[in-house]
Amino acid sequence: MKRTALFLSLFLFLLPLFSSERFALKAKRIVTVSGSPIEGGVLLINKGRIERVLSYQDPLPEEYPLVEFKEGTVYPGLINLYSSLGITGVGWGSVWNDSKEVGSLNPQLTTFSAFYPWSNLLPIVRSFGTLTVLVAPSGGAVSGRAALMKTSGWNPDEMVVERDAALIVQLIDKRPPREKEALAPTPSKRTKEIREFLQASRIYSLRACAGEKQAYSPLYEATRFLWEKKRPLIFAANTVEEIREAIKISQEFAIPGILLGAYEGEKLLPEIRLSGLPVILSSLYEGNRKWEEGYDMVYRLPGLLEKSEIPFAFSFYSSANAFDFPVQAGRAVAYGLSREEAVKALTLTPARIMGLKDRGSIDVGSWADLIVLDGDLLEGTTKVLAVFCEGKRIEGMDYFQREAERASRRETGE
Amino acid sequence: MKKLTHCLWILLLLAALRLPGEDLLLREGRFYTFDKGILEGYDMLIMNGKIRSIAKGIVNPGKVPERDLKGLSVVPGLIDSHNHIALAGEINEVSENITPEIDMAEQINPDDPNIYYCLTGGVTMVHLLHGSANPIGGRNVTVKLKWGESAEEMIERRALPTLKLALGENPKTATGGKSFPITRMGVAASIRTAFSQALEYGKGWEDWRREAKGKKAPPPPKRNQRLEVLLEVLEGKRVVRCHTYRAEESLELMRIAKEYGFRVQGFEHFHQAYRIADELAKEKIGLSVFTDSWNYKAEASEFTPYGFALLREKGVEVSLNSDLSEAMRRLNIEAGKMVRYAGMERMEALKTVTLNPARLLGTDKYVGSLDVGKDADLAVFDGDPLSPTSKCCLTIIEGRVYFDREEDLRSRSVKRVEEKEATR
Amino acid sequence: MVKKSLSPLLFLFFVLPLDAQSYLLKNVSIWTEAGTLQGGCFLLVKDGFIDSLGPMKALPKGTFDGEYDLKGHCLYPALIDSYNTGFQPSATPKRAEGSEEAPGPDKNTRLPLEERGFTPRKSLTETLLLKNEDLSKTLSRGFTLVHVVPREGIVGGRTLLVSPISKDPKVNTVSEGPFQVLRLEPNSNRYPTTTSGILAQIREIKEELLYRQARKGLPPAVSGRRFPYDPELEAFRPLLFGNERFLVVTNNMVQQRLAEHIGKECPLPPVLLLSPDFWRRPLPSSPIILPLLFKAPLASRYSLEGEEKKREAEERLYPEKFSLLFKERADIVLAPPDSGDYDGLLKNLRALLKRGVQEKRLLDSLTINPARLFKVQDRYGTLERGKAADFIVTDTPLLEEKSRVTITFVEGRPFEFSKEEKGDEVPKVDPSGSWSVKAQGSLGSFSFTMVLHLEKGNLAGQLVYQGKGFDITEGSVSGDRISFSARGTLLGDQIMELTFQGRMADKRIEGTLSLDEGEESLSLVANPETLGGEM
Repeated sequence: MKRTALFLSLFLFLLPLFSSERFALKAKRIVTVSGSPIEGGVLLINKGRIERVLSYQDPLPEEYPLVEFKEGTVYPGLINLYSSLGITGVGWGSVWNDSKEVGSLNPQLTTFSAFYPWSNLLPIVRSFGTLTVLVAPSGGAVSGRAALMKTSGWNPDEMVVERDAALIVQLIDKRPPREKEALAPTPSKRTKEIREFLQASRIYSLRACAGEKQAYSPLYEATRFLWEKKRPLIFAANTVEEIREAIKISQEFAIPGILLGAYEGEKLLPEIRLSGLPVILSSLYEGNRKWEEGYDMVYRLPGLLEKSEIPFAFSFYSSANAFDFPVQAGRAVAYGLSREEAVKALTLTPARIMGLKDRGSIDVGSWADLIVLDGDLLEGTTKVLAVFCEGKRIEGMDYFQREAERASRRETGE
Repeated sequence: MKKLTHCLWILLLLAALRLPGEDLLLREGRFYTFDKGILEGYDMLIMNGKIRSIAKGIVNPGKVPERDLKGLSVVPGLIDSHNHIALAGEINEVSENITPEIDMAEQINPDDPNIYYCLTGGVTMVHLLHGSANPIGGRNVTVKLKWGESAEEMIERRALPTLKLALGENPKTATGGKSFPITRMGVAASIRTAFSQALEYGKGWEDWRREAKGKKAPPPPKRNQRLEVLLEVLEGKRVVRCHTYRAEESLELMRIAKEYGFRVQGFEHFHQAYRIADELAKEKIGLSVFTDSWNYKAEASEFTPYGFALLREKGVEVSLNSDLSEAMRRLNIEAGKMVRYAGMERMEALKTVTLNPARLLGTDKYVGSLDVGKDADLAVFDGDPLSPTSKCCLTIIEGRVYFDREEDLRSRSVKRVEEKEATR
Repeated sequence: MVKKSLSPLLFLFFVLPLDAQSYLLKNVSIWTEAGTLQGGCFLLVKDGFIDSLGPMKALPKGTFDGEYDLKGHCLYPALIDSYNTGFQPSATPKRAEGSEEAPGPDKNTRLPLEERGFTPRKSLTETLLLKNEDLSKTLSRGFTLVHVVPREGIVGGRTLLVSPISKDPKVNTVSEGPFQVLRLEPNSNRYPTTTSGILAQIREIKEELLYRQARKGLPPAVSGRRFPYDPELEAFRPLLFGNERFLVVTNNMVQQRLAEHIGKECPLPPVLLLSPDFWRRPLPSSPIILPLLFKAPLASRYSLEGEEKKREAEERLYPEKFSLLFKERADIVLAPPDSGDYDGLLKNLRALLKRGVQEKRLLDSLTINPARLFKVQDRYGTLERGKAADFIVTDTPLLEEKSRVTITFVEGRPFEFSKEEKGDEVPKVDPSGSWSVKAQGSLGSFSFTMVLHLEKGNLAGQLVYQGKGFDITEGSVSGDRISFSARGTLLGDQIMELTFQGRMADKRIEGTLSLDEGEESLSLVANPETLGGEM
């Protein structure tokens, strides 16, 4: 009797572990992104990864408690490759903003060191579907190192996917027209500066690997990951000259490069294609700049990139408006992008651009980063029903939901 | 005979002075009406700029140009109830606190390309406001986006005259914290003082009018245009649109409004509106807000879009605005989000950018829905109008096509400017 | 023809009073009121007035102080510059935002009218700045009357009609205060900061004046308060109730529209200085001054960058629109495209002539129309007996390419201009070599070295300051005058532009060095280190 009681209590104690480790997710539709969508499917999730994909007819194994969404569509979690999540808070010009440092060459900065996961913003971004972000600094010519972070976890160490995921380089002349920032050199000088820097950094890395003695330099030490781990260089480039420069630098130094922005990319499609550089588009909500380009300049670019078979991903820098991340992809669909490619550019393509093989799609073996929606991902009318980060369902309310709930009870405080 | 020809000439002249509305016959479109639902495969006849009829198989009354809308959705022209495009010469009178004499109608710039970009999003009417640097800012103006016409022709004179008030951070900090007011208490006090002065001014004129009927009329008091505008508000000839973020300051404004007897027509950007949903519903005050743009300053950091569900429950009328020159191109997407946040039905969500702002601006007798007798202000989308995956391909104001995507694509070059100038 | 160089003559002229001399011009083609050039005519000037003119067969007999045989030349009434914002001290530089000026206004006190840009009583006679170069330039292009307009403030003061013959205001002022200038550019930080605020302020002034008028002569008990005399306020009375006019300067169509609103407040419609895109609105019926500028105004606040292409397209249309205007109206007054840009004016006039505008209309708009506008048509504007002897002689018809004014008569006094005055002079000095330079200005004094090399009138070389080189991009030497502009980088990456103008004499170069388009001026003295053409 005592033994059964002990055994039962043990079992009950272990049961939660079992139920969180293993479960079956059943939904009306599963969009795998890597293949065609599955109508009526079941995903078996174990230890945070997708173990098997079954259809409705297949029998359900018993150890997998069923979590069902009768009207739900399952998508892989969204991946945002240019975000300020964690390094900005309220307002852009305030003490909450840590994204822009003073100075022109700052590769020693890493956003991982300043990532703040406990703000109200992060759970909201997560509950709207973004599960992985590349947190990127801005400012200067070499802005710093971007870190690839998950949006679930308690502290940055739990949330990191890749600490030094990429180096951000600004080729755009962002100076306000009337100011002359003494710290930011003029564009042509900037590329020269960047080239010199990369050259010196490569030599430093070679020497360090060969074990030679050399003077310690924090800047070059910080960029060793580029050469030794073959991480990419993200070039923020908008005009034709800037894009060409980015392609040149990337080829000259044989580093994988990624274009960020590429506002005038439609003028250079064959070149970008040949160079093999993927594109991270900045937010489509910035509008066109010149009258002659046409009012839909920004919206038609994704469709053109698709036709030229250039891999591209959407991004959304502002974290306060992260709900618009998939909606802007829908906007591009209106102007020529295909729906499948739009969903892909939110999930699979960004994963592959960052070298992540086990995120961004629903395949056997990939992490169970899943979101369940009550409709199409690209529509503004759909609600997110559930979010799973590496197999764990996110319970609890985010700030928006808590606030609405409090207000409905007319109670201040919790 | 001469008199008759004179009369005819005068009539012709009068007719020529007013821009004639145009005739148009739209065939086989999908019309989104609020009383009859979605009408599939119907025609719409527009005569003289007004909707004459919506029915199946309308016969062309003769030489009316036709347009085929097969597969396209027609919604009422979207209305943006809060924006600052098309204004030149500074929208903020920063140097003084109470400046209701400033009139935005005098500063309309009809050449702003943003007007055209608005049209590409299906927006046909915009309410242009003074900035928010002053507790009492200035008079606002409603315009129809008739790209290519002069400023006078764009102004919509049938709309309610409005006055811009502002509460919260912006009027507090507009002078770098150097002059009264720098607190919310000070802002409220400034507004009270101003209206008290207006009451006194009004009384002074009342007294003078009484005395003037008597034997020896004293000279009239000095006319003060500033206080006269405030007097208009107190007499109900002008309504107040107030920029606010926090619930407590708007409650204070509602108290002031009750005390002095003027009407607050709408609150702008009101992120914390869900906290006083009951009070708003009781006073029948409308809202002109964003769906989910927040956190760009401290007072905008307390917000929940799910509050719209609360507001809907209490019956508060919500209109969506953009306040920015890019966001106005996606008003239809913002309306779609109301389905998600407030649990609205799709038609109800469409109203937040059509009929509700029309009511807010006082033009709901003329625009805001596809009803016979109203102005023919239409936006035509190539799919579900609330979805981001459909785009606006035709915008019509009073029967005249002001944006046609095909036309735009065709003439996309500098030549287009020349053509436009030649037809002026 | 008697050759005289200008400067000594002008110098003498300032000393001598206007005197009574008579001049006879023979065999010249005179511009008639019908709009044609009538050849073989004469013109007699006596005591500063046109005594007689006519065909050569009616030539008067007698002796005259000066006789000119001008076969092949043409004679026109002198031109009037209707809008000039020069001849004044340069505007006080706008302080950078966030500098020592009080950060933000006190929103509860209103400064007096003068401090907010409403200075109707300001008179240009006190501040008029006439430099020799400006005077000779004006006269050498054929302009004998200049309408100087204050360039600061919202209501900036009275305009002034001057004759550019003397620096003495008693001598050169022809008409004081034809108009009161009103600009629709709001001041920063002081009411008004919006253009609507300017209108509101003018209405307020009007109300105050009406109020005071109604209470004039009444005892204080009835009138309600005492009225201290406010001279600035009273200066608005003739404008808002009397017969004085505003001259409203508009830069774009929005302002032009606002000017019409202002017009409704005044009994006499204001004179409008139209913006270049005036053709987008129906023309006002009030008198207009039109700068002959074929350029779209600056983009408004919300327009996008890259509007240049759109503007370029519009610039092709502008001459068309201007020529249409001239065909419609005959009372237009033209002004140079940019204040003092007389060459540009002639160039654009020629463009209009090519488009079929009548020459008479064009020349009227520079002669009799402005004379009527400034109400001096009794003395100036046409060539008639009894009018002031203000006219110009050109070597070819004025609107032909490469026409040049050879003589300008002002009040019967001739000023002759030879070709050399334009500055294409053969270099008389050779500043080649290396120089050590001392420059002094408000920033302090600087020493640097300069290496110059002269070749065929072109100056090249380098300035070396603290190891950084400034290369000379353009330089020339005419006579003993040296001028060049140089470019280089300072403090790492700031590009700096320098211009130098000066003279060389006795192996010394002296002049002024200005930095970055005149923001700073340094006086410069250079002494030779080595001279003689070797770099």
